[in-house]
Amino acid sequence: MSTPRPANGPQPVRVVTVDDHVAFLRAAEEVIRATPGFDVAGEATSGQAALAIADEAKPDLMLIDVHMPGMDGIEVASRLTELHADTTIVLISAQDLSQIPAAAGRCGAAAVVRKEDVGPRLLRRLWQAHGCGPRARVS
Amino acid sequence: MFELHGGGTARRSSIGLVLLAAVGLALAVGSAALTLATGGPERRVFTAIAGGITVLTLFGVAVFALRRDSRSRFGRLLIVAGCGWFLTTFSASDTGVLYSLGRVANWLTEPLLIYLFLSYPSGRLTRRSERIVVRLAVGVVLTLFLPTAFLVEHYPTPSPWVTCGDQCPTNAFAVGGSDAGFVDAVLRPIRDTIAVGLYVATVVLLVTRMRRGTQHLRRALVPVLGAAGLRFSATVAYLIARRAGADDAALAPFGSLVLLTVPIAAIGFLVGLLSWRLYSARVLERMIAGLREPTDPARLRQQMADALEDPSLELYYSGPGGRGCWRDADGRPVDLGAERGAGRCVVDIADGSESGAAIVCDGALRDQQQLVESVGSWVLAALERQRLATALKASLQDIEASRQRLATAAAGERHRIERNLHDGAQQQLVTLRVKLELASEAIARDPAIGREALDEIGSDVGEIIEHVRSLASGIYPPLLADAGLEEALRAAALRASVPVSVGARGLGRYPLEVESAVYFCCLEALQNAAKHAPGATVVSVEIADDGELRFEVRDDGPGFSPDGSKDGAGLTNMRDRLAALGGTLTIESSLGAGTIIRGEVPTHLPSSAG
Repeated sequence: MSTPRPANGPQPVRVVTVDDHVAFLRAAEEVIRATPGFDVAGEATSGQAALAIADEAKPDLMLIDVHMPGMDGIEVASRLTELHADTTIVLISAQDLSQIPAAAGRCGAAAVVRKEDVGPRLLRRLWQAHGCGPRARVS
Repeated sequence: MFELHGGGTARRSSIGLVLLAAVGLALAVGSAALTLATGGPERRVFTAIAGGITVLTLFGVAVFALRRDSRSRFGRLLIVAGCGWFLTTFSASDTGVLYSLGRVANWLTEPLLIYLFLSYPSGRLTRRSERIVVRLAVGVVLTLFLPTAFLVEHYPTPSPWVTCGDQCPTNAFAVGGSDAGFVDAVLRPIRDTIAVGLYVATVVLLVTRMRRGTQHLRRALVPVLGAAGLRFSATVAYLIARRAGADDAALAPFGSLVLLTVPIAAIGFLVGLLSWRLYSARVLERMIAGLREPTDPARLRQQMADALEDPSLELYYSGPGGRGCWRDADGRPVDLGAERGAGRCVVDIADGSESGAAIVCDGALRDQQQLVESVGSWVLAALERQRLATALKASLQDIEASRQRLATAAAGERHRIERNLHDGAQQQLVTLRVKLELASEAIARDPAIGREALDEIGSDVGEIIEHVRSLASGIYPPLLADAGLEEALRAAALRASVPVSVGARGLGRYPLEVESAVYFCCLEALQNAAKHAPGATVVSVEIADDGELRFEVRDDGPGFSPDGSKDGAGLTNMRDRLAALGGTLTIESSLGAGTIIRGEVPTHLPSSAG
């Protein structure tokens, strides 16, 4: 899943995408691969799987869909910010941002973005603005 | 049951009553004139006036009774009595034939008077004891009085009706062989004694009738009982005094009293009849007041009993066996024939339809047939109103529930569309957007890779188009809109998982909501067949327009037993869709015999505002 770290260069930003729509996971994977300095660390299709993969892969950045059946993105974000303070959480949604519950602003997520805006430029901007911790690297 | 008198009948009956009154007046005047002209010296004027008043009052009360009810049996009896008493006034004459006729008429009118007292106010004898007394009276007159008319030379004197004193004419009917001694010594005491006994019996029967009757009957009988008591005690006193040999001067007051008691009795009858009239008005008032509120069969019976002042009143309903089969409010069978036989008043208040009711009440109300019928019709109307109100309420509740379900189904449908759009087309479009950005970056780096990405995007767009198309189809299929029911159903049949044949007869185009409802009902029925009729080899869909738009979906699957099973959500939805258009759905199925779902929708919809 993740590319091996270059021996002497900066380490890539490791990203996990969480969405119950598999088509979008594929598109997100392509975006991450097409963005230099970023790497796919894993993916999950539910909130529970997201918590598991966060423990296992310890990603730098997680893109989490707000609207998922069962545990939604906001709840996942709340839990992750407690357990993995080093991980930057970004909530994504296919709906208009006005339809996002107010709780999204209090769950510890760094930002909320629309899914169709996800691309290499957005990834870089997000990391520049909200990336944190000793492994933060921007190329 | 009502005889509504048309104008012609009413006019004829009022002419008849005027004639009757005229006849009565003529007879009254005639008898008085006859007495004055041909009477003897004893109390001629008094007897003439008493006789005239007697005939006049009897005819007068007859006219009153018949005016109120042209079928009144009692009224007709009073006419007979009036004629009879007209004849008795001939006893005041001193002409032999007239005098004898009058004396015989005196005897004949006594049983008639007893009959009048006992049969008031209906004109019918309702109890066996009453019939026995009357028959006995008639028998006594026929056996102990009438035969003596051919035997005696002189009628017994003195007598209340005669004015001839000691100079009475001889019996014009005597055929000789007078055995006056036997008649005087043997027959007269016997028949006088029997007469006294009959008078006492009559009074006793009247008293027992009063005690057993309704409150109103008791009030109506008081003047009658008074008159009867007066008449009979005066007659008995006269007989006793005469037998004791009292002279004319001593007998005269009793005699006068006896003469006057018949008009007094007639007035007693009148007072009773008047009070019946007031009673009728009160009954109707009470019924009208009582029926303003909603009621049930148990309370209805009580209301009627209170209104008619007859606690013994019962209300029966015709049972499922039709008109001859009656039941009480608890469903127990009842024999109306037996009730009639027991002298009760039985009034059938059927309105010509299957269900009806009968009122059984005190025999005294038999004279008030029309009143009881009016009350009965009110009862039927009240019950019908109650039944309609209950049915309406149930109907409204059904409609409300159906409307709720339709609203819920509509909201659910919208939600389904929204979900479908969101989870399907919207997600795909979002992903497409992301891919477009990637593709545009890829083209800048490597045109070949960029072209590949664009090809992929092209096929994604194709999928999205398909998705949106099928969503639109699920809302309102374009084929249905363009070509109508037959074409749309044929196309749906091709997509079904079992072979489906489609037949159509006389179809045209119908309003949007009608075609949509029929289309989706058929679709639902086909889906049901596919789901619940495994092993069905053929499903047929038939639609026809024969004034109503009908459809039938039939399968030869295993069928199901429809008793006790509630409709599933699909069937309920079908019913609601059709019911909203005034249509109906029926399901026929039995185990092993397949299933037929039939629906029909009227094709002429009433226009709705907005």
